[in-house]
Amino acid sequence: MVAMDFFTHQDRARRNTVWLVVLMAVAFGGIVVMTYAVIAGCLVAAAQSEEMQAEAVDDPGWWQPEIFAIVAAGVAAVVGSGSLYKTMQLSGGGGSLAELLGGRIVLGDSPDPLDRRVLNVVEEMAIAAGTPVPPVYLLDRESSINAFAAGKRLDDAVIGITRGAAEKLSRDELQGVVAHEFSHILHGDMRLNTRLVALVHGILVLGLLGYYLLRVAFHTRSSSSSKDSGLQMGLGLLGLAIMVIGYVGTVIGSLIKAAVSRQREFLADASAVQFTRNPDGLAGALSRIAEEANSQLSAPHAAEASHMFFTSGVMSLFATHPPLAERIARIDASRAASMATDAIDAGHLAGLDGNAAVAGFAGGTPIGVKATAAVAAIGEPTATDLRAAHRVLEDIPQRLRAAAHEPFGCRAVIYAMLLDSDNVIRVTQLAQLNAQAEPGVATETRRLETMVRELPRSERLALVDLAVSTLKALSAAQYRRFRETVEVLIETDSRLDIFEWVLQKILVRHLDHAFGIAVASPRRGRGTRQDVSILLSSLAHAGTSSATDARAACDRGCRATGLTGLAFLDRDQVRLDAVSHAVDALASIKPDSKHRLMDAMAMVVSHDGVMTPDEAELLRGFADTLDCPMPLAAGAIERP
Amino acid sequence: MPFLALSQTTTTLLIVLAVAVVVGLWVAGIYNQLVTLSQRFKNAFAQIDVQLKRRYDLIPNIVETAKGAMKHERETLTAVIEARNRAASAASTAAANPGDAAAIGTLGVAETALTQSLGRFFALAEAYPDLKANQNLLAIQEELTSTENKVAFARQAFNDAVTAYNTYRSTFPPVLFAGTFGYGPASLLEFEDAQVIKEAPKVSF
Repeated sequence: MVAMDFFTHQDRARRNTVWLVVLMAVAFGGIVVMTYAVIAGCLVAAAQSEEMQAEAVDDPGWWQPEIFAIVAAGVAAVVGSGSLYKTMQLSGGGGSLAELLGGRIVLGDSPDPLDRRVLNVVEEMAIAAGTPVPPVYLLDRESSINAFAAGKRLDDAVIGITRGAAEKLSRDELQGVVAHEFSHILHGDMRLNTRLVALVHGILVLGLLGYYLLRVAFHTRSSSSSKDSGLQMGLGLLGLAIMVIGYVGTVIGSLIKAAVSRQREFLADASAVQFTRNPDGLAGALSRIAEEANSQLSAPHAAEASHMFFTSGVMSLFATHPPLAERIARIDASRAASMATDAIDAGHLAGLDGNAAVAGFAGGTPIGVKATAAVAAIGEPTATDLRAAHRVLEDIPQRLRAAAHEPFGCRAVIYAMLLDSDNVIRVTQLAQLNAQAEPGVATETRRLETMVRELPRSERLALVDLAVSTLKALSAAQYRRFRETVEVLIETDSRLDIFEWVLQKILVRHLDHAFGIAVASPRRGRGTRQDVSILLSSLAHAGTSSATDARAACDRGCRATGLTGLAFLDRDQVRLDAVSHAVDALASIKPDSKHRLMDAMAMVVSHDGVMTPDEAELLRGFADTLDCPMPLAAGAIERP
Repeated sequence: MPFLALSQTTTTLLIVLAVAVVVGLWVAGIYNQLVTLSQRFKNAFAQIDVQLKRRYDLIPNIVETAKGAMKHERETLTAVIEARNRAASAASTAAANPGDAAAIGTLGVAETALTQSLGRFFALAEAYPDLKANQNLLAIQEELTSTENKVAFARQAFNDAVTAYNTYRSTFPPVLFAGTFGYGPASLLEFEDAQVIKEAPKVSF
């Protein structure tokens, strides 16, 4: 199975969404016309019987714009409110949904070994994919094996795992399942699903309305006048018709939804194999579920959320997931292919590692290959990234990891990373911490300081990624205080360095929104050529202090974009606030443009064959803002 | 105009039904919000629970370390252990249902008692030069202080979440349904934090 790249998936998702809107419009139009036809039919019939009695002269005819407008408005109101409700319910962030299903958030410092294992697997996968770690929820009451990813965007995504899955699956199998869920997150499947589910729900509400209309008509005892019974009859027929229209619509909608969903499941399986290079893990998990013969959840809200689980347990046209046997068979088929690429990958890697040692004088190739390979790997982490993530996590001292896993220490970790190396500034910062933060935080920060300072710069962002998921457990008031303290610490030396900037970007994107902090609205509209010039120039300057080399690197990137009119900007023209504005403006460009932009950035970074920590951090900040999660091995410089 | 009359009836009916649907959805929305908010403070309690357990595990170690030197303070040592046991059992009851106001209240009382008896213990320990220089005890004491800070912080998060839930619950439309759905008011976890208690004697003397 040839893996498509991230940008193709994004592009396809956009096209699918366009199709869905068209489909939605057609479905809606069809429903309005059918409903109108029924109502008009009733009216014409009623008019004819009236005519017999009262000899009315007006023939109403079939076309009554006024009534058509009323019908259209009525149907729009019903379907719209049904869809709106569902959208509201599903878009409250992944966390609320997981909580609705009875999920318990897994604490980073949980003493339970099962909790720890689940968390480790998710953390490795997130770090490998270059995204902050999503919160993990355990469904304690579910003994079946299942898992889900919820949340509309990357920043509010959560992973849910049943207790059955945590207990019965081996680590490899669990990793396969988690990789599958990450594919849903990275490929934006949840958003697509939310739209589909909302539409179908809207149509379902119309059907329900018809059902109630029918019941009202036949359960109301009315006086025996023939006019009233005619009205009753008319209402009953109308109700029946609306019910049929609504239910048929729901059935068709569900079929489409299920078909789309099944395709996404195959894709997620394929991606999971690609992420982990371990088909046995995923296949093992699937066959274990098949043995269990029951992967259904008992939570009352589970049915509404069936589309997002790992397996659906329903085997029919309406199943949101393909049959297990077929999924296993497909994984087996891809196993051979995977082994072949594995060999290539291994060879490629060996070559890379060998070259990396001589990167200093070997020119542009080795890391160059890496930076461009990184772009190819956006949103598609590989087994190499997973191994690198495992290594990075192992490298972080145990105490630092433990601190990052617990809300109190986690703030201290971030504060410690912001402490300046200049002692005068550092002392001011510590005094500010004492004044601003909760009691004990300053002490904790000083305690972690040395360990944080000794951490290689390439591992700092991994630590931030770990911390983001813990910070989500703060209360809104606590987060606000934390955020203010971060700003104070950053502003102490009255200059913004690249790490501080990336940290701010990550906090804004992944936390501020969730805590309801109004983010200064990013510049609207499409990014300009000037914005592209700023990004490429800033990367060029981050890579070298020589203006000539920077210009050469930037020119190479400019050519790669295929755009004309780009210019190399001097160092003082690319201050970080300008860079920040530029990348925000470019966040809304089309996926294929993003692809070219990322390629160009990789060109600039790889021009001199060395990826400096500044370049790596800037690139990560850009990738994050552009919604292109960049795998770890790319962002971090691997040490030989 | 018979048609118009009929269409008006139909329109009225449609509007009534639409309103009914909207109201129904809206009530369901209130229910969902109650579930979410209560789950949130329950999750916040889990965070306290982890730290409290760590604290309960440390206390017997302290007592064990001090036992040799403080032979004549048996009563104080026993009081610490008893207070610790009461607090631990109150914590596990509260963890089973953090929405239970009575259980949270009991935990608050038990925790205050434990903190006070620990305060007395450390005040007495000051009089024993051997203990003051005991590295093992100092390390545990350090760990205890750090855990207490974590408890205080987690407690603040829990209380914020409970306040958010209680506030939502008592606003106008949800207050009509919250009781019916079985979502009663939750209680804040109140106890005097170790820091406050430690500073108290300085003021009184």
